[in-house]
Amino acid sequence: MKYKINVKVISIMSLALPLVLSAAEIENYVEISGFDASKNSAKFGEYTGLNDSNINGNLDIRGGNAYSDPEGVRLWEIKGNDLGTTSRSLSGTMSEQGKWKLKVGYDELRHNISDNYQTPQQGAMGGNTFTLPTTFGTINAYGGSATVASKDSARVLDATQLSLFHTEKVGTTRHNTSFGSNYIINDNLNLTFDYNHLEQTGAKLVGTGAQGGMNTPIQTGAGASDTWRAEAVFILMNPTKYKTDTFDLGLNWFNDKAHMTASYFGSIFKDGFNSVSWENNLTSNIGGATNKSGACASGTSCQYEYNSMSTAPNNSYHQLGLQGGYIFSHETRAVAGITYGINTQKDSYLSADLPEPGLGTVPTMQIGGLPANTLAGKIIQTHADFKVTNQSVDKLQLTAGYKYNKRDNRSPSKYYLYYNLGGVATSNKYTGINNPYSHYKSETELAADYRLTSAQKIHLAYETEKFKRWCNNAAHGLECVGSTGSFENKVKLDYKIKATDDLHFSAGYSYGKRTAEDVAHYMTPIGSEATIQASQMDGKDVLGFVSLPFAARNEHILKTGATWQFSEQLDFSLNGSYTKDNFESAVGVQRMNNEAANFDTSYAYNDNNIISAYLSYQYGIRDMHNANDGSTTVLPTKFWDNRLNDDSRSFGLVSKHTGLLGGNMEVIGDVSYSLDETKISTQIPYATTTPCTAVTDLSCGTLPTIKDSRLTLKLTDNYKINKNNKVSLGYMYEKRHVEDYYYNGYQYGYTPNRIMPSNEQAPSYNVSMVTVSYNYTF
Amino acid sequence: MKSLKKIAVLTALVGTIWSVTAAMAADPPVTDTPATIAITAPIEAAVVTPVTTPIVSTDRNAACIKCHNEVTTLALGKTMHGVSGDSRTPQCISCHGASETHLKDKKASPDVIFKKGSFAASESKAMNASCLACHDKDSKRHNWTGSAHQVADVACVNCHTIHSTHDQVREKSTQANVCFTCHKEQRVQMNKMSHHPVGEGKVSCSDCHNIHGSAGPKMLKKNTVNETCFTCHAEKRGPFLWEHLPVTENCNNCHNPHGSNIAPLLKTRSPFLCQSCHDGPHNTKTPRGPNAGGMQGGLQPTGGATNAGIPSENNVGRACMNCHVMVHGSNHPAGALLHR
Repeated sequence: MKYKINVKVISIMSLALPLVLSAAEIENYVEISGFDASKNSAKFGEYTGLNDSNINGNLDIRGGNAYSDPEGVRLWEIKGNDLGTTSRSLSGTMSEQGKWKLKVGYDELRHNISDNYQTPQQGAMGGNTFTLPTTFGTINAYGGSATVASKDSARVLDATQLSLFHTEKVGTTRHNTSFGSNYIINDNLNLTFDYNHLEQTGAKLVGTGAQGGMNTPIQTGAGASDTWRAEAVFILMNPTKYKTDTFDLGLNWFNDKAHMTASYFGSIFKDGFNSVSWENNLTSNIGGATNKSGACASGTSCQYEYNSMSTAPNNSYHQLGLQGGYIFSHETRAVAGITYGINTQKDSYLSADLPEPGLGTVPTMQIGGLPANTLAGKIIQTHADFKVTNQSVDKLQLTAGYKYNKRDNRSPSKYYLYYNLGGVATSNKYTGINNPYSHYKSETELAADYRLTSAQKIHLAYETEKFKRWCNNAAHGLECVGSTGSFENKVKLDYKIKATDDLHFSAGYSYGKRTAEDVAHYMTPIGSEATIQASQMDGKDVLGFVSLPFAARNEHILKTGATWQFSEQLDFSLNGSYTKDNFESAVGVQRMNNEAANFDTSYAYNDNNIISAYLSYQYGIRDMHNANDGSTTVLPTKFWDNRLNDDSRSFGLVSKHTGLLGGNMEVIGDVSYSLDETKISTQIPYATTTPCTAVTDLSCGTLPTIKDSRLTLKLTDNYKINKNNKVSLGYMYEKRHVEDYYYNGYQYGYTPNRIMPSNEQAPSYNVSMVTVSYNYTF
Repeated sequence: MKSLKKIAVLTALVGTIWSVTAAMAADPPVTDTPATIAITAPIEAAVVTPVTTPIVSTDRNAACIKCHNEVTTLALGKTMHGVSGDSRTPQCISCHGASETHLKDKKASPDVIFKKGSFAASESKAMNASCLACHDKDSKRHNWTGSAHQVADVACVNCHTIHSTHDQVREKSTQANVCFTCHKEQRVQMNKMSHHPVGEGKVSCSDCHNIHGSAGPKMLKKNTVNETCFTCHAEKRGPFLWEHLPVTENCNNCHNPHGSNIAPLLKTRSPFLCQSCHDGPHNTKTPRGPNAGGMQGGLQPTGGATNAGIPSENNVGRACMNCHVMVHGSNHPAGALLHR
């Protein structure tokens, strides 16, 4: 066995730093590193695993007789990355090239979500049951009383209650195990099989739609007419105990004229839980009688209501496919593919009794039981595509294509009568009718590419897209969507020219016009038939409102670019794009504009020194027009406008210097800066008063800018001791500053009455990191 | 004692690794000129460009290597294209053409030039023909002709470094930088607060896209956007008892998969995101602005003494999704409004 001596350093900071040497020089290496971060930041280590100080390892070792024996075809490779972090991966490959190949792999990836989330709920992250300390007491505010005690709002907690909050580190971890194989049966036939087992642990933070501020029984005594039946919100650690097994099998056949692949794709998802439950103290003490008598003071032994939510149901997807191509001649070829897939979900509905305030113990909140024990959901997904290309005419390529995708939801539709949130038992019985949404999309494309000269090329295309929506056998018998479909025509024109060998330009324009069918009276997607028919005009609250995906639209896209190789040492590129969407809705989203520009340059002022830089800019606007009322007519004073601005700027500079200290040392510097700002403004231009400052739910003005700035500096010094040994020293500094009003409403003292504070903080950080690594290559 | 044991174990481990690697290094090292490159079989045929049948040609390779003996060129011998025992392994002329004129006169260009140097690079069509001679009959490149990259004159070598033992576009940790050479808007988006771990090298562009062409939108590997997303996010596939229409049609209705300033990958902040489609019932038709403390607007009405002037749970933080948690769909029989 022979091994080529070579030199390569992959720093531990390879997660964040550029690769050090030309990839072409990489052969076998083993590297051990140590890194020390000045602070433990969840966001800094979100995917990198660089939260703390640790020892890390990377390796890439290859071998096999193909490297030494002229007749040999065996190759193997073992590869490991970031082995000491929570973003580690290890894989092994072995093959006899031209005969078979096997690959096994394992990787982990930790997604840090928060390291400062606080909650009084007790229960481990990743679990599905959360309880409250019995001494916490209830938060039982209701309106109409001038003598509400301080404990009646989550905004004002006493010392005992505040002491029961604790901080949790929240995140999910992906564990991925894979196996892949390829077997060449003969010169025309091969078989591939890939299997992947994805396991997720941990949790994500979610809100909770639970009953709050209600007494037992409801609506008696003082405050009965007030709107104090607000929903109660805990920010919970919703478990992600997921397992997904994926299978991919393909049989590939080909000869000189044709090829064909028969395939099977399977994906089986299993959730370790079917519900998440928590104790809810934002309502009455369980067993209470009237009004506040159900309250339970902090410091005493309390019982709480119990709420549950469903989690993701198990499901499976099995798909068979057939695709192939045929070369009719040197000029003409065709490819086509079809797939047929079945997606099923037949998890049993939650069967445990779910006590709800004011409702007693009600099985899954149903009135009179469930119409079925499971959805028995079934979706048939079909796809077909076809494309022919022809180059019979010199310099001209013609393409004609067609694609079809259908989601045919054959799940049964039934009435589900249950108790809704935010109301009272007597008035808030809710009839939900599930709508099995189905749709199909068919697309056609006709395109021509013509080379005007050896330096100029033009591309012209005409495309159509037809979209249809419906529900199979909806129990209400009414239309289930606001738009049953749309049709879009699009034309594209692109032009490229090489003005000189070193100067290239390109420009492109496309125009698309989408018309949409608007259903005047449709059944709201998830609502009560009787309520909707009686109270709603045009299927919506505001006359003339059209949902964004249903709206007719004109779209203009303009793109342009230039690259200039000024000299062997210096090059530039500049490109930009502009997109304008106008929506033909009286009320709803009106327009979206996006523009972007990018400038890149690199300068190699000698063989050992190169500097490259980039500057990017993006800006987007979304304008929405809406109204606060108007089932039949909309008063001008009720109209309001909302504008979204997204603004991004980024800059990067990399400087690489090699050949130092007799060619044994190289230094790389990398500095980058990005600034993203999101601005949201709501205006009520025709209001006669000054509503922006009114204490009312008619609110307007400009929200504080959501700002994320990040400055990164990386310095890497690689020193080659000898042919086999190298050491690296790296320094990284990163400062992220986030301003986001999102967090304000979850801070203690600033929450709504019915939101338990979570005290999550914006993920700003300021981290310095030093790395030292030793690399042995062979 | 425990510390001593740890030190002993660590010493043994390092010693073992050292011994193994030293033993490997003790093997006769391969010189910088890779003698193992495919140069052993006899010439079978002269070829013209593009070569459709791999030719095993010792003499012709040797003729090329005589001049083109740079380390980066000869690194091909350490790649899959350099496995001489595989009858399919190409020769220099398989890709670069027979280049008879060049052999006679070094000032004349070889038939196919992949990179501008002493000679101008060939047209992408000619370069790609060399690669597609072997690589156009499999499911991955099935849709190349007529694809966005083919139409845009992208050459295989614009992304792939054929002679490199570590082709950067095929390495998860470095692939994105290759793609960002052209896709600069995505480079900016990947820097945003909420993003897939592409920049960190844990997810690659090719996990979602088949850059060689596909039947899906935006060159996605799967037939639809949702099918692609569900490969990893299968918990959102359902079908759910209570479906959310835009979720069933296209994840991109609400998400920007390349990055966003609003986590998780959202196009804008709730409730404004929700108001793009919902104008009622409930409070979705209500304007939302700021209020005291910079909190998301909408104060409670004055009806209840404890609520007056207090922010509403409909507005702050997750806003609608404080309560309508199951926006991807709910399977709870009492979850029609995506509460449970």
